[in-house]
Amino acid sequence: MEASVINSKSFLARMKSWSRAELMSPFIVGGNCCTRELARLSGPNPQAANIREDLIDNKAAGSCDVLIVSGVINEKSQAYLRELYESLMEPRYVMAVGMCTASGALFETIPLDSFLPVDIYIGGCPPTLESLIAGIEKMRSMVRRGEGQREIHAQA
Amino acid sequence: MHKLRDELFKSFGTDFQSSFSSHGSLAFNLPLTFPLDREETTIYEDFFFRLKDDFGFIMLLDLTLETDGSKKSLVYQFLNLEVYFRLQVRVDIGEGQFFASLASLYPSAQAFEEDICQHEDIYISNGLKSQQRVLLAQGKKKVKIKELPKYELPLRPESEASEKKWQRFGPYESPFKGKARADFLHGNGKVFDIEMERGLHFRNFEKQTLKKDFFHLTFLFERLSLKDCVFAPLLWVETMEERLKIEVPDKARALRMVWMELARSENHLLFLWELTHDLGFFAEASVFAELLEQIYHLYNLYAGKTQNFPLFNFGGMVKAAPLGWGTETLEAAKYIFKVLEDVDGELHRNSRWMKETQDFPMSATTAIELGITGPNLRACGVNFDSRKSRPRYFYDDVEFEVPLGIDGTTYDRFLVRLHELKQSLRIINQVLDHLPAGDYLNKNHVLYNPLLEKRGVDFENGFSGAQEAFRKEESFTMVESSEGQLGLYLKTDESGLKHLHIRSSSLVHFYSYPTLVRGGSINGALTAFQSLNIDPWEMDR
Repeated sequence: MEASVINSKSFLARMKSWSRAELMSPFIVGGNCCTRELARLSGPNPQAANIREDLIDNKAAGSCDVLIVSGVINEKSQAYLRELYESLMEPRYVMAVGMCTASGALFETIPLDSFLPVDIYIGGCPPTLESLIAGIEKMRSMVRRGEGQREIHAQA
Repeated sequence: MHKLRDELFKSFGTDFQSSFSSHGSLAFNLPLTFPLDREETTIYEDFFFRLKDDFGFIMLLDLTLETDGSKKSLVYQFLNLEVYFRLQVRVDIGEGQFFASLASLYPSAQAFEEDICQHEDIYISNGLKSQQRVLLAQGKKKVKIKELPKYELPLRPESEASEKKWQRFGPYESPFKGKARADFLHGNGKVFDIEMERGLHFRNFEKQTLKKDFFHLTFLFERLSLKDCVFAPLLWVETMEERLKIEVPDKARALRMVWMELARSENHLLFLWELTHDLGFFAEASVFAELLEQIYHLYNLYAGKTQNFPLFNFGGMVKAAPLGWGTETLEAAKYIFKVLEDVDGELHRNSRWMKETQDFPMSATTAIELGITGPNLRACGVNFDSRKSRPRYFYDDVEFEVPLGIDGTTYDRFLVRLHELKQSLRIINQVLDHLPAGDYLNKNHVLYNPLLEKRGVDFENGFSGAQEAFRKEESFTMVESSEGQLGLYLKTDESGLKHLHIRSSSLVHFYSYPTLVRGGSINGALTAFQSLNIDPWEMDR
């Protein structure tokens, strides 16, 4: 995306990814210990001052573009997650929070990347607040650079 | 208590095999095997009827299915609330695939029976609406024995009937937040019927414990509940200590009390924050979030983490409290207490808060029949707290009160938790003021291993001691967790663990939700779900 020649096309592309990065609207799949740590991001935390305050409020999935998944995945939640992923706005980004989602570690459950494309993994059981913030910042910079937009590349 | 035990023994002891187990409990084995003939059915029904009516065992605490080869048996746990006496009843069901439901006598049996049907290849022969397995994906393994008529509401005005529709809520949107999915049949803002679905966090916890190494179980128990890592591992450690008669030093006992109360106050703060946030009281919610951070700060100081950290070891604690931690805790408790008084007053004066939360009353008898425990039961006005009725550690020596509600509304559930939080802080103050001197860990016992203090190491060598911990024994232990009675049924053999079952209060609360909200307003129903404070991580297991 770092084109040396700036023309109207590349400028618009940059403008698009910049606005996407600044207005990321995440949808949190929760109900487990990692969600409690994620909820702290919207609290009065000096470390998390740059994170949007309404992170914890789940709006309709159709208006979100980032899926933050945490917790164990079994056959049932797999079906719900597929449905949820397809209802997200394009381009979609997926973030896997915690060990259970990344590898199904402790309880030997289904890892997320076996059925959904994952952009960022955040490790830990549960991840610390610092690593969550770092992960979100990393995702933001990734979106700003225009990386990880699989659907767009696939269409072109 | 002894009188009740003698009477029970006099009435049933001659007919059935019985044995005295630990203090305040009795175990019966019914010599009946399913399928029953007519005479046996009357004995079976009469036995449970008399337990409830003559001996006051009004609450069914737990039910689990034990398999030994091809033989199956049901283990019921009943509780007499007045004298806090527990009765264990074992019923053999042989190799059959059916068992009789107790749901007509004890409505709480529905929750446990459905839970059993999820895990095992066994069905209930009477009394239940659906036989569909909810812990598995829909359509994957549907079992329907026979079609039963659908429940129909008696009151259904004709004008509203045309506007009724089914609407899906959840599982990930507010207020369900990944806990469960609910389909409401509603019209004109009123709920007519509701169908719930759970099992999003099912990870086969109980079966996995049998596969894992003995010393890895503490790790698993730290991850049983979503809201704390205190009560479940404490229950596991206590159970093993009780069996092997391991002594716990006074300092460790006091520290365990502090941790239990810290976890309780954290849980209640989390509840208050979620409830106020969901109802749109953002100013109050931010205050509760700030108080939560105070408690997380204490966690960080002690363990370097805010969740899922190791705390308890067999015979004491994993480590001593760091220098100055006690003083910090006392200061934090004082600060939280002061702020809570202000917020409480503000919410009382808010008419919208009072209007939106005073809905869905529940009577004390219904709550007991449904098997509800903890603050949700106390909100209905039942004075039952096992910290008072059977005090352990130093709960006898500290001063605290058990706050009670009146009607069991959403508001009462909020108020009981708010006041319990204050009482928890009071206990923490008293214990830390008189913290006993001495060691934090008893090292002279079979289960002690220095490697356990360092986490993340391989436990393969040097654990022959654990084998001595096992002999043929069964036990049921309970702890008053922040959301009710958390129980552990454990059966061991010389070879190791045979059966492990967890009594989760959230499971019972989940199954009580439809009876609570039928006929109420849809907006209030969503708030009521939040107010039951269900822990999905513990419920699905």
